[in-house]
Amino acid sequence: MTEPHPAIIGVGLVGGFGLGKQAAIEALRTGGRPNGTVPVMSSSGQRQLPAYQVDTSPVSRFVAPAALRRMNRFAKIAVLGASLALEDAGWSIPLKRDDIGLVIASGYGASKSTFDFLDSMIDGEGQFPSPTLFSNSVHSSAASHLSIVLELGGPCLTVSQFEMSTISALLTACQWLQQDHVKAVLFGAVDEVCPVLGYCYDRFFGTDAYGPMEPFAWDRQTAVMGEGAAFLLLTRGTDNSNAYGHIDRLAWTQNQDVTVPGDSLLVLGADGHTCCAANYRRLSETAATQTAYTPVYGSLPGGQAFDVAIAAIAAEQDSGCSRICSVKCDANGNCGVIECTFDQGRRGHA
Amino acid sequence: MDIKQRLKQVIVEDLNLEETTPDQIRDDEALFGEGIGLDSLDAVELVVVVKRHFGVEIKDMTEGRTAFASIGSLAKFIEERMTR
Amino acid sequence: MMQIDEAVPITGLGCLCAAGRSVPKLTETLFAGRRCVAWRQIRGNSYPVFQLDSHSVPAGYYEEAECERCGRLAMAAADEALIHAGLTGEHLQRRRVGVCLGTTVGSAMNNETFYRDFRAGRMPEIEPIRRYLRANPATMVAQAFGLTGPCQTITNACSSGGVAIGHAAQWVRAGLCDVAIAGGADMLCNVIHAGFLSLLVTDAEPCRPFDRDRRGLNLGEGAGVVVLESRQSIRQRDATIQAWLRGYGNASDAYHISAPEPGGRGLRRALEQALTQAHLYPKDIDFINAHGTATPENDRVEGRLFPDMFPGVPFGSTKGFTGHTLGAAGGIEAVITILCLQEKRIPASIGFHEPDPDFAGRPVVENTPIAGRYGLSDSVAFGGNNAALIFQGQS
Repeated sequence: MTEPHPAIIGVGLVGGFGLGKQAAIEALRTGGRPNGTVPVMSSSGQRQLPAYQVDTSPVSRFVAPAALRRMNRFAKIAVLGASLALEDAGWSIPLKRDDIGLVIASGYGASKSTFDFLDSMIDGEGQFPSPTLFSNSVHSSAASHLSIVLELGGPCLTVSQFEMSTISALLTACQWLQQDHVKAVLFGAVDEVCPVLGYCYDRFFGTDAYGPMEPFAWDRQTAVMGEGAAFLLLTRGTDNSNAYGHIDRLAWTQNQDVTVPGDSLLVLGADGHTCCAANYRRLSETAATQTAYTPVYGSLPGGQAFDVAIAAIAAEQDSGCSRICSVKCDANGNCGVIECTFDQGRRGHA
Repeated sequence: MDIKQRLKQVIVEDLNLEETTPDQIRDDEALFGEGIGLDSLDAVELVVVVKRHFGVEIKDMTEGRTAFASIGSLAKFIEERMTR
Repeated sequence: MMQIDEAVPITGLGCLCAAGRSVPKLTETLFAGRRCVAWRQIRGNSYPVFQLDSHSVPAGYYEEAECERCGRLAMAAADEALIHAGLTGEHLQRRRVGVCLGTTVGSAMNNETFYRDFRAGRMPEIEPIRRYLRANPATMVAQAFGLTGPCQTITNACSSGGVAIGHAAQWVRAGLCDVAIAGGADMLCNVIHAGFLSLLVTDAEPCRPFDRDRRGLNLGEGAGVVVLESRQSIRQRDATIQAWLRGYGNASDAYHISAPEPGGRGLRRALEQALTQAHLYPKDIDFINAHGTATPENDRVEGRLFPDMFPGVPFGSTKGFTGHTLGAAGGIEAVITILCLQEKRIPASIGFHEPDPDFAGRPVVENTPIAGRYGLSDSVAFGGNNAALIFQGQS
C-alpha cells in the first residue's frame, strides 16, 4: 500500500458481548460466550440454539424516534456500530458531509428483513405484501438508513461476499482514501442472525452447533452463530495525532501465498467452521504468536472487521500487540489479509 | 368501534407511529405533509393496511390521493366501498 | 500504476437480456425498435416482463431456477466479453484478473418454497441454502474462469452494475489487477416482483419512460459486463481497444429509503464527479443513456436535471427494450452506451409518446446520429445511491 497508510481514528462495535469497546475488552478478558439463544425446530424437537445477539435498544441514544420508525434491525445494528465509532473519534452526529465515504460489508445482508417481507407475502396469501418491509429487505438498507441518519451525501458501497466481504470492501475503502476521493471513510461489517440461520446451523451441524466455540479445535465443528457490527472510522493518515494506528497492507490472496510477518501477532478469523479449518491450521503452524478473537463475537461472515477493531482497542489498552496480521479464510482457499500497526497505549485509558 | 377510530388505531400500529396515540389524531388532521407527517412510502403501506383491515382496495395513487387527505376522507372512502 | 483520473481502456463487451442474447443481437434489436415483451402471471394478474427464454441463453447457462442463475448469466456475459477481448485461457492465467459485479437477487435468499416449508414446520432440506452459498455472482465468475484477482459482489440495489464498473476501473488504475471483468447480473424473481408491485411503481402495460402517461417500471433480467484492461496488458498482447472509461461518480441522496430526492442532488453530484474525473464539460457529452425506469418520480428527477445540467444533449432510456434489470442495469446500459458510441447513433427512447409538461426533458423519438465521442450512463438506486459513468468512443 502506498503512503500515507490509512489511519484508524475511531472504533465502534456491538455484538453478543454488549455495546462498545469496554464490553468487548471485558469479553476478551473473560473469554467471551454467547449471550442468547434462538429457538430452532430440530429433528429432536424444539431446541434453543446458542447465539451471540445484539440488544438494539441503545440505538435511541443516537437516533430520534421518528427516524427509527421504519428502520429494520439490520440497520439498527449498523447504526449502533457506526455511531459508536464516530463518538469514539469525537465526531458529532449528524455529519452533514459529502466528502465522507460509507462502506458496508455484509455476508448475509438484511436476511431477517428478507424473511419478514416473505412473511407479509405469504400471510394473507399474497394479498398484503408490505412495501416497507420490501424496501428494508435489500442488502443496501443499512447503508441507506445510515446515510439518511448521518446526512452523508458521499459515495456509498455495500459488498456481499460471505467471508471475503470485509477484505473486499476494505480494499475499496482504502482505495478511496489513497486516491483522495474522500476525506474519511466510515467502514463497517454488519451481519444479523435470524430463525432461518438458526435452522441452517442445526441442519448443517446438528449437535455441533450448540457450542462452545473452539477456534483452534481444527477437527471439530464448533461455530456458534453471531450478529453485530464493527465499524472503523478511517482517514487518509496525513494527520496521525490521535489514531489507533494504520492499515499497512491489504491483500486478497490464496492461502498458500499468505506469509505472516515475523514481528506480527497473527489474528486468525477461525470461527469453528471445519470447512475453513485446514486453511487456518496451515497458517497457525507458521506463526509464533497467534490468537483468535472470534469467541468474543461469534461466527459471522463479516467477522474480520471485528478482529481489526478488537486488536486496535486491545493495543490502546496496552494489552495488545503493536503489529497484527489478521487473516480470514473461506472454504475455497481465498484469504483476506489485513496488516496493521497500532500505537500501544495510545490514550492511556479507555 | 367506528371506522375512524379503527383507522387511527391501525395507522398507529401498522405504520409504527410510536410517539402518537390514536386519541391524538383528529378526524380532520392531514395524513401527509404537515399533519401526521406521513410520506410516500407510508402512502403505499397505507394501501396495504386498508386492504388488510377493511378489505377495500385502492388501485393506484391517483385514487389514493383524494382518499388520503385526512382520516375523515379516508374513512368516508372506506365506508362507501364497504357498502357496495 | 495509473493516475487516478486516467482513462481506462475497455477491450471487451458481453451482454444478454430480453433484447438480445449477445451484443450484436442487442444492437440489432435496439435500432430496429423491437420490444420483446413477455407476460408473467402473478396471483391471477398478467404483468409485462423482459425475460430471457431458454432459447436466448447459451446451453448450460439456464439450468438453475435458484439465485445461482444470476451467476450463470454473468458467466455467459463474461464469456462473450472475454472472447470479444481476445483473452484466451492462457492470457487469463498469466494475468491478475479481478471480477466486480453488481446484483440484487444473486445475493438474496428468496427461495419461497424453502421458506414456506420452514414456516410451516415441515423442516425443508437445506440444498437451497447450499446453492445460495455457492451463488455469489462474482465468486461464480472467478471460479468459472480460474481467476484469482480481487473479487467483489456489490449490492447497492439499482446502481450496482454501474458502481461495479467504476470500482473495477479503480482496481486497474491502482495496479490491483491487469484485467477486470465488471458489470452486473440479475434475474426475474417472483418475490422481488411482489415487492415492486406493493410499492405501486409498476406498469401493467409495457413501460413508457419519460412519457406523460407513464405508470411505472417493468422488471427485466440479464447480465452486462465490460472487460477493463491495463495499457501494459493490452500492449503485451496487441489487443484492440473498444472504448475508454473516462469518468465515474458516485454520490448519495441521504433522503429516503425508497424515493429519489426530488431535486436530484445526489445524482447531480455523481454526474459532476464523473465529468471532473473525465476533464469534460457537460457540453462535451454527446448523449445520455438515462436510468429512465418510467416511474413518475425517477423520470421527473432526470427529466428536470438533464436539460438543466446538459442543455441540448440528447438522451433516452433503453429500459423500454430491457426492462429494469436492477443490479444488472448499470452493466447492461454501459454496454449499450459503448455500442452506441461505436454505431455513432442512439436508439429511439422506446415507449415514449407524449411529453410530460412537468419537466423540460424530451427523450429522442427516433434513432439519432451522434458524434460518437462521449456517452454518459447514469443509474439511480433504491435508497438514494447514484452512479454515473462517462465512456469515450475509440476513434
